[in-house]
Amino acid sequence: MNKNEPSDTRREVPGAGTPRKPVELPRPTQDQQNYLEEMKRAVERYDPAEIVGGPRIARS
Amino acid sequence: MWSDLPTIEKCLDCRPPFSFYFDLIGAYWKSDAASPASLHRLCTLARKQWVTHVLVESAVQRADVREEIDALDQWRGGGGSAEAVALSFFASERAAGEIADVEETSIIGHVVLINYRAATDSRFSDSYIYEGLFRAPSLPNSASTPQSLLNNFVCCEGRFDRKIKGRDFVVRGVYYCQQNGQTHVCAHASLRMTLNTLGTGAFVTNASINSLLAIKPPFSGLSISQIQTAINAYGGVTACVADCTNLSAATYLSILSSIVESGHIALLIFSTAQNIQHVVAVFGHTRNSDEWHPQAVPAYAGPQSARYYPGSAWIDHFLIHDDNFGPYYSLSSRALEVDPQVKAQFIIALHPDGVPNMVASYAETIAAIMLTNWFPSLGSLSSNRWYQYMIKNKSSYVLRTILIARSTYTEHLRNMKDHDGNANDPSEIANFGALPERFWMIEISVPYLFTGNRTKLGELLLDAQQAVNPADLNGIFLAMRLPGLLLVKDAAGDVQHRDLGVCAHVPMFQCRVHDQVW
Repeated sequence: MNKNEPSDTRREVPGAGTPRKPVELPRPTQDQQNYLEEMKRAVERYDPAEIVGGPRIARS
Repeated sequence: MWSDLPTIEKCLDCRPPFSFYFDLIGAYWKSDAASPASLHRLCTLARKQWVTHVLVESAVQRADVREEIDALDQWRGGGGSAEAVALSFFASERAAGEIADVEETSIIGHVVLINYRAATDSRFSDSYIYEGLFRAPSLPNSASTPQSLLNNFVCCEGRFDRKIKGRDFVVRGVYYCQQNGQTHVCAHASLRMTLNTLGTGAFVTNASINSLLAIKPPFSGLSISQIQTAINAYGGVTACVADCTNLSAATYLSILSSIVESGHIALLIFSTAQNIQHVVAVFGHTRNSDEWHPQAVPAYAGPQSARYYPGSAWIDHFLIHDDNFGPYYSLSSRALEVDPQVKAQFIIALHPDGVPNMVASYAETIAAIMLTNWFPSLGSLSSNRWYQYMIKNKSSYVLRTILIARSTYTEHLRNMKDHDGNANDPSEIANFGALPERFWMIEISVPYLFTGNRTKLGELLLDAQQAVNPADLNGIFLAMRLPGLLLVKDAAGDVQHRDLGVCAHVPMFQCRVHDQVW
């Protein structure tokens, strides 16, 4: 079979959809937390009174 | 009160010796004080799409056009004269025929140009494009259906109904308009371009913006909060501001990419050489899947301990309307990195259904942290070969972040078919549980699938409303689909895992179907 052609058989999934025991997921490290805190601060730093989009008629 | 200058109705035959420079722009752009760059761009787009003729008529009877001229006349002292010239561009073999004979699909675009002359002046002081409705550029051919441009992703467009010589036409595209520098500036123009394209509220005019904000000319611009107010008052969308001044180019390009790839629209505000913060409308992008730098440099993002390739690194241009220069330009993503005078300042996304809890680059970084931290302990959950490949190839993920509605995601799951032909059955889709109405979907791929097949190995779903606690990211985790495996949070807050039938790579999400992709 050409590898780019899809197979016509669905893979068997034993116990598909059956929940098993909960997964324990590790928390972020301190450096990852610091990185996220800094990202959040940087993006929210703006002054809402700042004026943008002034008049500018292009001359070619 | 201003007086109405007559416009002679005619049909311009664009075959040689007709010249757009002299017979159209030279004839209809009346003010020497204003650059005709915008009209040149519109005519250029028309020529590239094999325009055959241009119908000329007056648009001065349109109520919104009269309102526009009223405001300009009042600002200029009253008693002036004006014309509103409607130019409709067609590509049709029946060019010279009556309007009734022209094929409906042959319309390329429809433009309303205003020329204004003050009472005390013999020359025209103002010429500008009040409205420019052009379909997204496409490759003309001898067949009746033009082809869309290769790797050119216009992510949202509006539908506009206009009467041309008494006949109703529909133009689908991104609304374009220009400032006149007097009664409105480029911030107004960008608001009109984005809001009128979305079309979720009433048609936006310059007068309606000024009335809403209770402001009168002269204008040095609009404040960020005024822009937010105008967007939020419109209905159906909420302004979401990201300050770019302290962000790396990779970060704000990731934010902008995510907005347009989610099918939304944005205002991009950047500094210019003239020390003015210019505003343009961003509605799409191009992607170069053969781009060298993302892998060769490499263009990693994220903290040192959780590196990833942002999918936005392959986006080489953003599709924009610049009110000064015209519609459908592609702005190089590198342009904002190389010129010290041209720097991104703000991105204002127009998001449906409220402000999300974070920007896309933040969601993407959280996804990278989750994948990096979680995979070492998840290796035993599945023996699927693609899953095991992901576990073993840390830091080589390509992440692409989409803000998605639950109904759209569910449809995406229903239509999903992996490389081996497997699909999700309804019971598996039900296992995703009660997802919120809108959430972040961070698609996970690897470079050669992303660039070659345009496919992904899974996606991570994060809540878009809850506040984020960087110390405990599990609070915003909803689910993660991987090859052959689903991790999903249950009602008690525990993360359960289930097997899935889709066990290979599947096509990336597309907010609109694009057929010309390399």
